[in-house]
Amino acid sequence: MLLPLVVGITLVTFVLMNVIPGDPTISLMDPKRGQLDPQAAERIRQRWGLNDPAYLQYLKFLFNAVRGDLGFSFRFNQPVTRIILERFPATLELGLAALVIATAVGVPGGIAAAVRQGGWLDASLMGFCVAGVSMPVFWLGLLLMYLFAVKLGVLPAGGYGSPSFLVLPSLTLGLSSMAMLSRMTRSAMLEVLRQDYIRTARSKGLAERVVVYKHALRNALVPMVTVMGVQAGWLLTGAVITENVFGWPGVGRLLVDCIGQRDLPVVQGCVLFTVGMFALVNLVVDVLYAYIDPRIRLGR
Amino acid sequence: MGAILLGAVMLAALFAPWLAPYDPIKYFDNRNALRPPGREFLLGTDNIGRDQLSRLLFGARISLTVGLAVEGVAVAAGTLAGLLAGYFGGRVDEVVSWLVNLTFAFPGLLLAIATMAVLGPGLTNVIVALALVSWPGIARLVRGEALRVREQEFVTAARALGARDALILVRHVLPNCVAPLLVAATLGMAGAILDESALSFLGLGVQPPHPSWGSMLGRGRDYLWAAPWLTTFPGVCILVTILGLNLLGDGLRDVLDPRMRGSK
Repeated sequence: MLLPLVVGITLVTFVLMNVIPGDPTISLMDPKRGQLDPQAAERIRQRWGLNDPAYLQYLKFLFNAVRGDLGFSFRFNQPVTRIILERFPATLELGLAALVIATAVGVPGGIAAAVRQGGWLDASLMGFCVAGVSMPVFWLGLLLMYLFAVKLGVLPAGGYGSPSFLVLPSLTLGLSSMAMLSRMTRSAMLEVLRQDYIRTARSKGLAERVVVYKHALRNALVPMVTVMGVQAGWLLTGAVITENVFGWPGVGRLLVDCIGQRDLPVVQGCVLFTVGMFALVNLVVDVLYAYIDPRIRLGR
Repeated sequence: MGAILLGAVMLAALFAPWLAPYDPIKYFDNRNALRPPGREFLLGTDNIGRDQLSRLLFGARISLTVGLAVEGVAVAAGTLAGLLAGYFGGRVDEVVSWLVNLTFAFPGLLLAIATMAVLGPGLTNVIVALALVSWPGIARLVRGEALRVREQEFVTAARALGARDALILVRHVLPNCVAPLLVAATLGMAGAILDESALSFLGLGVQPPHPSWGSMLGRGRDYLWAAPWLTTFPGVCILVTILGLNLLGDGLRDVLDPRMRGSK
């Protein structure tokens, strides 16, 4: 199941980046200096294997990618892998901060709403959730930027550096995940709280706090972790937008910059790298399932 | 509630040429650049003096076109693939499932971004790219329904009566998919419109001078200090449209799916 998928993903990425008409050596030329000398172009083609048949190029690409070599960027004059790894810590920082914000607010919020179903807290939280899911990330980012950077002047509008730079981007990125997570937590908790064993727990006189956090929450965790996994995938692409709003020097900004510059090896590398991260997150989620719920065993 | 919001946006899109006080693209005057909202220009003007209200009204057309076209293609392709995969199983199912899983391996907008990188910007390309990422969700949904319905007795009965596969698919399997499809298509439209504005915001989608809400926001970003109205109003438009579609989708689900009733 996995192998055809890996082949498919790399094939899609490879084909996408190679159907673009035009000779890649042209991008090496300085337009001011006019035509590249044809012999030099031929030498470059030879050196980078651009004259090989497509399937051979793909196999080379696949073989190199497996070894962590994603090609070479002529614009940066550096290996693509190194460029991406330089940018990745910033993206990771942003994504983790957003995930922490989403979890720290979303989970307790969802639990509180489920416990007092129909109350004002529940109603306002659900309203916030619908708005949070419908809110375009980039607009939210601009609004926060306007409020905190332009009007109040308390936080930087963009850039990278001390922790204060992280506040607005991570809030921007985390908000919709927060909304999704609290909605899912609420419905998972409601589902569990209705069950018989919760009534048993209550009737034997356990404190409500113990019933909610010890008995109910544990069983509500599985759907919650699922949502967190989905959200982590969303955070990866949401980061592309957020990084571009705030000028955050991560992989997402690199991707969009390089599309603009037609630096295709880097674009290809960023896409493949992000898909890899996404797959890794999904793997972690699967392992977490087994940890949370002993009934689910890997490779049954 | 959702229908009202959406209706307002549709009316705006439909009557844009009559409602708009100025031409959204051609009318511009540098002397009127960056005017704040006022009597002459109700929602202000942008950096080259175009009337923002007119641009927003025409922007509604772009958003709705993208939403409808993307979902139209996605529903048609997804339903066909899902029906065939779920009903016939075997090789067809393997291929469809492989394609679906392949698309789902790319998180969120990434495949659309990569496709736009290849196709280049433009309205048609946005629709192609977003349809490409939207059909697998529909296919998965329809496949599940088709698998479920295939085993039911009335299908067996129809087959025993000598009905052909095509007839069974159209008359018996498809109607069972309509309700969940309607919900998925409504929510999917919200997603497509949001994705279009995101792509345009990044400069990969609909290009200037065409008034896409997303690209207006992207441009307005540079004037956040001098002209905050350039980012406020397009954002409100996107939010209202998406909110309308999401509320409508949720409402439809509550009405059409009895299982969801009560758990809300």
